Amino acid sequence: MINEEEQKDRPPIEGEGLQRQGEGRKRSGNPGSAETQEKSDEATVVRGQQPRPEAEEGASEQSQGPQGPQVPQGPQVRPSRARTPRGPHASLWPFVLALAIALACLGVVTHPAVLVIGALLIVVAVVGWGLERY
Amino acid sequence: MATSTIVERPALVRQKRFSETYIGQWLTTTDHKKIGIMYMVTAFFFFVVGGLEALLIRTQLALPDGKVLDPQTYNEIFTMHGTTMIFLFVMPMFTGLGNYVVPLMIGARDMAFPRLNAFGYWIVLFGGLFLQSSFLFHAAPDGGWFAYAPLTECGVQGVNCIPATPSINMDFWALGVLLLGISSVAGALNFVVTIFKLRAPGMTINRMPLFVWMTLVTSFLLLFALPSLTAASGLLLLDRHLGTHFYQAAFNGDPLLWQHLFWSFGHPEVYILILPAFGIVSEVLPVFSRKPIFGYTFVAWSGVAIGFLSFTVWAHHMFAVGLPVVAQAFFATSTTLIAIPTAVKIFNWLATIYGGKLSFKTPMLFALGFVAMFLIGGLNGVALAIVPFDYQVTDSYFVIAHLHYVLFGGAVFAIFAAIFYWFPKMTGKLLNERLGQIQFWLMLIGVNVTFFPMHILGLLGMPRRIYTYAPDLGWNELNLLETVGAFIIAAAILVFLFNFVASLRQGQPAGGDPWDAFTLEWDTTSPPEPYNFKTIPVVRSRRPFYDKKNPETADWKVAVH
Amino acid sequence: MRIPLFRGKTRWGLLLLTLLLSSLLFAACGGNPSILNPAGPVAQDEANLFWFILGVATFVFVVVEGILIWSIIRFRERPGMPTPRQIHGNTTLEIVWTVAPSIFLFVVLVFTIRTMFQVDTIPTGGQQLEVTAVGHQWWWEFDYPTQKVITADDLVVPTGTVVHVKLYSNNVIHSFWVPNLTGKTDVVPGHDNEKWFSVDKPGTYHGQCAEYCGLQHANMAFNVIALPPDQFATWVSGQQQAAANNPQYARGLALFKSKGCTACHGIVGVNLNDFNTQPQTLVGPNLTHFGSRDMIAGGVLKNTPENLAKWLHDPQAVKPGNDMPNLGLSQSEVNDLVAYLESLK
Repeated sequence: MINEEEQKDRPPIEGEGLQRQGEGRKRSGNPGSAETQEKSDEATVVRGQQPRPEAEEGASEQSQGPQGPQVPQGPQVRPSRARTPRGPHASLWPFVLALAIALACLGVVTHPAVLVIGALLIVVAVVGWGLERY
Repeated sequence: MATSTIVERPALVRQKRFSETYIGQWLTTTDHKKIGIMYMVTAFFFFVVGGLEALLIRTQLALPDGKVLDPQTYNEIFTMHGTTMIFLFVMPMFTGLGNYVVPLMIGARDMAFPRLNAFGYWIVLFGGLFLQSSFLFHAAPDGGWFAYAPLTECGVQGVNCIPATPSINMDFWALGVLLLGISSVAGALNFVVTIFKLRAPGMTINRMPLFVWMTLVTSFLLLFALPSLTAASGLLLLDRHLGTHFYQAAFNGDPLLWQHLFWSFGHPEVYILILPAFGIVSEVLPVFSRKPIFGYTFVAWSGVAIGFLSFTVWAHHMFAVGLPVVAQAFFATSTTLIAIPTAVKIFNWLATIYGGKLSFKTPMLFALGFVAMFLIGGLNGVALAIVPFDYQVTDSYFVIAHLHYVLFGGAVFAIFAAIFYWFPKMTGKLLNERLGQIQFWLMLIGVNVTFFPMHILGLLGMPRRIYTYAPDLGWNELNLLETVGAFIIAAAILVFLFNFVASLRQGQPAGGDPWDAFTLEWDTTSPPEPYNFKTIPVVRSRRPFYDKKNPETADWKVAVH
Repeated sequence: MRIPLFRGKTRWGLLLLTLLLSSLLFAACGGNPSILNPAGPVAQDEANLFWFILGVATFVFVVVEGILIWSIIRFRERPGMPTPRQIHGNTTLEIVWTVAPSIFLFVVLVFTIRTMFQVDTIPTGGQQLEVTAVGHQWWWEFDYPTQKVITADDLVVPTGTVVHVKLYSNNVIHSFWVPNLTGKTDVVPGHDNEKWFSVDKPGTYHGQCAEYCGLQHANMAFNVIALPPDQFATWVSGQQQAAANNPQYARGLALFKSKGCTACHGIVGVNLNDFNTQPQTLVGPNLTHFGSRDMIAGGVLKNTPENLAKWLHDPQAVKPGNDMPNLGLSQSEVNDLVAYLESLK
């Protein structure tokens, strides 16, 4: 479903489109896939987690009332034929950071060497997380 | 067609990224639904661990002079049972449910901070494994789940309780709790921001589903209560290792400092464990009664009232420590006050099913079971607020009865209501109804057989946390009965596990909306796509999906919210 | 299929109710440490409150569960049932069921606070006895500062007297609890907690530490033995004596001195000149009148020669983690020590 939408929006680059289409189908449900497919036109993508409720709330508040509100046909957030929305990017750093912190704690109660490994890993994870393009 | 293309032209297949492999998908996911599922699976795993610990406890106490566990192991087991069930089962379970359901309910595409969300989950997993790994070191925490200092900083038993190279058992506890606190704060922040900022157009605060309301209140409780626990266990670690004396009376510290710090976290914590359950029941009862929740505003704001009051009642855990009488009177009053909003909730639930068209699907059974059992937990809770009576029954089995009626009859029943209710949404399959009903009745019987006699044992003078008792004190029969009940509960959980696996494999397909429900999470596929909603819905009332399905009688036409 | 479900529920409800009533009856009549079998004014007040709140709670329980079960039966889905009216709420009803429990709870609160002041205020008039209860890990020591007597495991008091208990611990937190006589008060290091109780009729009442205090928290019991005032006076004068020095038990006495017992235990007339009224000079219980006591080591054993022999053979096997080491005594040494200690009436 993701890919059918994709295809309508942009012509397949020779070969690549087909291949990506197949891949996407296999791993549908993975937010990571959307990332690779849409890297080229990041700017036009409406970010999934920003439906801008404040702006919209006011608008819909005005339009509705006890009598005769218009029945909504799709949201006004974006034009109806916008790109298919996607979930957030995948990231390994939360996993690494959590593991590192737990490891450091284990080091505190067991052996300083474990603590050192954990602490180094915390640094790596924080830097990695911070530098990640998101 | 696409699959065949790949087979024909393998040369063009790009190297899979790590985040696209099966394992990588789960390790790197920031999708609130996957994280929610991981939370819940992990929580359930720890529920089984904590449950096995409970069975060990009950086996040891089945007969007087039990020899199943030695005292040290028994103390470790009951400490870990409490710690596991509270910090590793109920809290992550509600966080997981909230993670999955809240964004869907408010029409959002994900949580506000997806990576922070993933981080919160992984910390729970590793924090939990860290805590449980203490068994491998033969150093499981042994100071009770509220870890009263100075017991928890004694190096040598006997004369003076001075910290002299204490064993590492309680370090596992203090650090584990700190770790899990990080996760809870991350999760709570995420919920608060998500609920305040990412609601669908028209989803005003006063139209949010009640589960979202209760998650919001719970998140605030976590944010304000956890610092106290963090401070307490931080000081404990300082005392234990760096030679400070915060809890040492011999050095002008104060043992009661721990109790005040711990319970000013601990009592809001109790509501952190039960408010989401209130939310679940407030979602399930209306759907299976075919009516809206009765008194939405009162149900929502009584939750808020409970949240505020929960910060004023902590010392009712400490009536026996010798507080001034006036202070005790204050805490008795605030504790009594908190019963009022709770009663309001119960009456509103009754009014919701009154005049409805009740269909007894498993989620409904568990929700009704919740109301019935939680009432008992509420009534014996009020009894505990009666200070002179509390002198008699605090730290006795009466308290164990109370807290299990609230947490097992309450929170766990609500959790199963939620699992049966939302499982179709998460997997696209229905859980088996017949097995669900068998499980419900087994659990209802098991809970009462296990926990009701504890009231009596408390009245008969049996203190909590004893690893053995003499045969001539009149406690034998009831203890045996409780052990039987515990195994009935275990049987119920086995039925559930079987149901879970079987339904996951060959359950009936659920479709998007198997319960003819009212709220937005059902207005999408089961399971939902990663982006949840193809188009963000616009909300006009408290039951947006009901409105969509019943345009003529839509809530926004007939009722003004 | 739905109908048997309800029959089931009612049946279990009935069973539950029967269980509840029968077990409460059991609790009320049951012997030993029941709070519903009070033997003094403090426990009596506390028990009265229980019966009061039980009445209130039963009323609420029956009403609410009744409405719940009735609604479940009355409003169950039946074929051809129309969609129910979509009622969103009713402010009048909300006010009613906010105010009603408030009134209930206010009444409960009034009783609570009134009784609390009664129970917490130590009476000044009448006969008074002052005792310091010292919580050790894991046994109780009782000091009578006025009488200059120290015992362990047994708190002997006269009937009809206000027993004013000062609570002292220098290790961890314990809690003093005698269900038949009084509720708990914690023994907190650094806090001068105190409580009172009074016993109406002579007898032995089970007491127990009620705050988790470590490995052997389960074996930290004591007895409150209430005697008529004249017998109490006799008991006191007996306890004030130094230990009898009967040459018959000289071998036991010699072992007591040579095997290191005196490092932790005191016997007046052997290694102590008098009862030291300051607690905590010695680690173990004062054994001057050990033979007169009911229990060994926090109630882990009844005080009989066989049990004492078992204890002396290997205290760690009987009560793991306690402070008394295995002294590696031979059978004959144990017998001599038992004979000596049991003679200390």
